[in-house]
Amino acid sequence: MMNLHRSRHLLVALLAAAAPLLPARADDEGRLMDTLVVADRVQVTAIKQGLSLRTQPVAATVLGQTTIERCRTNALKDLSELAPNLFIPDYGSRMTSSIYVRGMGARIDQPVLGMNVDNVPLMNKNAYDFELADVERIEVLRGPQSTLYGRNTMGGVVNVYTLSPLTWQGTRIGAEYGSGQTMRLRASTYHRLKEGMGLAAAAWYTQSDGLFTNRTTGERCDWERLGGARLKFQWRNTRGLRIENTASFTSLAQGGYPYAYAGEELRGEDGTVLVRPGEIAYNDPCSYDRTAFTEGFTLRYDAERFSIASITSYQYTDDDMILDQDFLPLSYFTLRQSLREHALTEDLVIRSRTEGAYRWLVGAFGFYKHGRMDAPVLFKQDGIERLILANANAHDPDYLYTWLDDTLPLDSRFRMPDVGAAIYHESEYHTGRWTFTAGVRVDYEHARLHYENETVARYTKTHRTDGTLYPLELRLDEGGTLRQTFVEVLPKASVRYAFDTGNDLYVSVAKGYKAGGFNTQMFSDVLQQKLMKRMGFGAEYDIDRVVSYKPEKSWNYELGGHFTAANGALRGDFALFWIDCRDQQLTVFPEGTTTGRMMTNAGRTRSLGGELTMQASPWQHLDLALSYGYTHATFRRYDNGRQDFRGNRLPYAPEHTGSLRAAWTLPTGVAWLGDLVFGADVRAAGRIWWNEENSLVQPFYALLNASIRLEHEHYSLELWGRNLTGTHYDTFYFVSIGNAFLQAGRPRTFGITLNIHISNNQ
Amino acid sequence: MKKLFLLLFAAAATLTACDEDKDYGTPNETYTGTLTVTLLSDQTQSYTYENKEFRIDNPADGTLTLWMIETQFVPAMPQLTMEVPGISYSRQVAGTTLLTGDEIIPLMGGTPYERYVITGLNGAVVNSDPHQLVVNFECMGYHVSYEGALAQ
Repeated sequence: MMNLHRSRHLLVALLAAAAPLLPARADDEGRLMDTLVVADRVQVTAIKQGLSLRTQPVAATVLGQTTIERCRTNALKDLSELAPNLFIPDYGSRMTSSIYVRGMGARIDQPVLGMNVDNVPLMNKNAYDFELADVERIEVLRGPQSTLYGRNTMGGVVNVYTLSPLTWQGTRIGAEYGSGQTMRLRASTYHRLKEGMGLAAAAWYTQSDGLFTNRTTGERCDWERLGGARLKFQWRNTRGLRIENTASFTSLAQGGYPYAYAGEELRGEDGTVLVRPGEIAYNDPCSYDRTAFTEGFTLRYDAERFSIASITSYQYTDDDMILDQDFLPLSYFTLRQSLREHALTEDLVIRSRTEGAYRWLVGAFGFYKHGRMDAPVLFKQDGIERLILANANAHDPDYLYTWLDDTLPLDSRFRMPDVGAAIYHESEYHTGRWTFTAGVRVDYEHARLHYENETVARYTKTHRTDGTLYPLELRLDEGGTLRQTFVEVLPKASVRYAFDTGNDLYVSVAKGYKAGGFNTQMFSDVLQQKLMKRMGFGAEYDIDRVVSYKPEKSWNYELGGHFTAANGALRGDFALFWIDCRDQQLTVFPEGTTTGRMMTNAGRTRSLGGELTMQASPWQHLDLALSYGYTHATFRRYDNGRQDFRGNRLPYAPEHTGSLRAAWTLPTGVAWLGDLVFGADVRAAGRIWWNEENSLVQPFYALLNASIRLEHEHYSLELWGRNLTGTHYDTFYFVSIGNAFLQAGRPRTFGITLNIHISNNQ
Repeated sequence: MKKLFLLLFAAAATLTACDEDKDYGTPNETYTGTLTVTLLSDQTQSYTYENKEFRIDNPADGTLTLWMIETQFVPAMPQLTMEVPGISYSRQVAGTTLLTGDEIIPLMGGTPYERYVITGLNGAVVNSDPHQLVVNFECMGYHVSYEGALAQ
C-alpha cells in the first residue's frame, strides 16, 4: 500500500510557497483550469444560488467541462475525493450509492447528499448512479443545504448541469475501451434551431465484462450493460422568458456485488474447503436491473425586478435487485427486491433581480411519490437447517423438528405513498464589505407504508421419547398500514466579509435533516421472528417500532473563506466545521432474545474537521488542483443494546480524503495535432473504520492515476491508467449471518478514449 | 390485597352461580398484566414480569383455552408462547366466570409438552370495567400467578 501522508503535507506547503512567485495571468481566463467557471460562458440555468459560488458563504467545489472530461467523470462515484470530505465508495452495484460527507452518511435508505440534474431533484437514491454524459458543470455544495433544497441534503447537494445546445452546436462522438473488456460509446448532437432555441439529443451505451471473478461459478460477477438517451430542448426569448425541457431514459443490467469472504477458512461437512479468505464465492445469482425515466420541465421568466421559475418533474424508476444474501457457496437464503416508483415534483422559486442592498428569494416545493415493492426472501436448505431447525432443536428437548419443503418463502409486498410540501425563504443584505444572509424552510412530509406479509411453513415435530409425529402447517398472512408525519423547521444564517472580489471570510449556522421513513428490509426479520414464535419459541417485534424511523437532524457550524492570489493564478477556499447530529438513524439489537436488528433513532454524533482546496497555474502550461479534507466523527451516544460505542469513530466515513491533480500541456506545434496533455492525479482516503467497535480499519491509501492525452479543439485521444501502483484497498465491509465480507477496490486498469467534437460553428 | 378481593368476589359470585349458563360470550379476549412466578421449594425466589399478555379463547368444545404470550418463568428461560386448553368454566350471575383445571398438558407450537403439566389451575374473569383476569396454577415446581386487565 502506498502511503502519501507525508507527501500530501509537502505538496500543500509547496503550493503555498509558490504562490508569491506565480505570474499575473488574470486576463488569461481561457487557460485557467475550469474548476472555476465564469458565469456568462455557460448557459446553465442555476436558479437558486446562481453560478458564482465563490462569492457566497458556502463551501463548494465546481468542476467544469474540461475537468470532467480529463478526470473521466462518468458517474457520481467518480467525484469521490475530488471535493474534500466527499467519499463515495464504489461497491455493490449501481444501486448502492452510499455517500459520506464530512463524516455523515448512510448505507441504506435516506441519503445525506441531495442530487439535482438540471435543477430537478432526484427523489430516489437508487437512481443516483447513472452515466454522466455531456455534462457542462458539476457543483458540490458541502454542509446542510436544507433551507433551499429540503430533505436529505444535510451533507450537501450535487448539482449537475448537462450541456446546453445554446452553449455548443455540433456533433460529439466518444468511444472508449479498457480493462475488463469495458467499452463505452457515446454520440450526441447539439443544434441551434433558431436564435434562442436549441435542441440536443444524446445517447450512450456501456458494457463491461467486469474485473472480479466468482470462484464458485467461474464467471465475472461485476459485468454491466448500460444504455441511455437524453433529449434536451431550450428556448429563450428576448423578453426574459426561458423554457427548458430535459427527458432522459436509462436501462441497466448488471451483476455486481463482488463481495469476498473475510473470515477463517470455511469447510463443508465432508472436510472440503468451501471458501478461503479473500475469495469471492457464492452460488446463487446476484444482479441489479434498472429502468429509469426522468422528465424535467423548467419555465422561467425574468422580469425587471424579479425572476420566477417553475421546475416540474416526473420520475419513474423500476429496479430489481437479486442477492445471494449469504454470499457463500451455501444455500442459506436469497433476496429479491423489486421497486416500481413514480414521483412528481414541483418547485416554484421567486427571486429578486435588483442590485440593491437587499435581495430575497421565496419558494414553495411539493412532491408526491408512490412506490410498489415486492421483497420476497427465500430460505433455502442450509438456511432452514442452520438458522431455523438448529435453533428449534436446540431450544426444544422434547421434539425433533424436520422441514417438509425444500424452501421457505417469506413474501413481503409494500405500497409506499409519500407526500411532502415546503415553503422557504432567504434574505440577503449587503452593507459595505458585509453580507448578512438568513433563511428558513418549513418542510412537511406524510409517509405511509401499506404492507402484506405472507408465508407458509410445513414441518414435523417428532416426540423424542414416544416417537409421536405431528405434521404441522403454519400460515401467516397479515397486512397493515404504518403512517408517519414530520414537520421540520430548517433555519440558516450566515455573515460574510469580503476583503475584495477574490478574498472573503464567512461564518454560518444551518440545520439539516434526513427524512424519516420505513426500513422495509426489516420485514423479513419480522416475519421470521413471527414464524418462530408461532412454532413455540422466539419473540415478536412491534412492527411500527422496528420498521419506522424518525428524521435525523443536524446543526452545522462553519467558518470558511475564499482566497485568491497572484492575480487569480492561485485560488482556493477553506472551511472549518462542527456538526452536531441528533436522532441518528441507526440499527440496534432489540431487547430480549430476538435474533434480528431494528432501525431506530438511537444515536447522537459529532463531526468536526477542516477542508482546503486550491487551484494554481504556476507556469504557463501547468495546472494544479488540490483538495484535502479532515474529519473527526465520533459517536456521542450509541448503545446498540449490547455495547456502548460512545467516543468511537463513525464507521464507513474516512478520516482523511484528498486529491492532487496536475495537468501539463505541451503544444505540439502541429495545428491538426493540438496539444499533448500529461495528466496525473492521486486520490487518497482513510482511515476508514469498518465497524462500530472500531476493531477493523482500512488504513489510509492512495491511488495513482495518469494519462497522456492528445487534445485538439475537434478531438481528443487519451491513454489512461488507474490505480497504477496496484494498491490493494477495500471499499466495503459487512457481516451477514455471522460471516464477514469485504469488497476490494478496483485493481490496476488501463484504457484508451477517443472523443470527436465536430462543431457547427467552424 | 387487590388479588384477595378479586378472589373473594369470584368466590361470592360462585355461590350464586347458574350452572346452566355455559355461554362464555366474549371469545378471544386479550389481557395485559403482571405475572408473578415463585419457586415452591424456596419462596424467596420470586420473579415479577410486567405488561405480559394472556389471552382467553373460547373454542367450540365447551372449554376455554388460555394463551400465555411470550412468557418465561425465570429470566434464563426463553420466552415461550404456551397454550393451555381444556379449562372448565362456569359463569356466575354477576357475570364473573370461574376457571378451573388440573393436570392439563399445555401445547407449544401445536404439540403437547408433558414436562410443563399444569396443576391446580384456578381463576376468574371478573365482570368489572374493564374485565379483570386472575389465574393461579403450578408448573415445573413454580407457583404462577397472573393478574391483568382487558386490553382496550
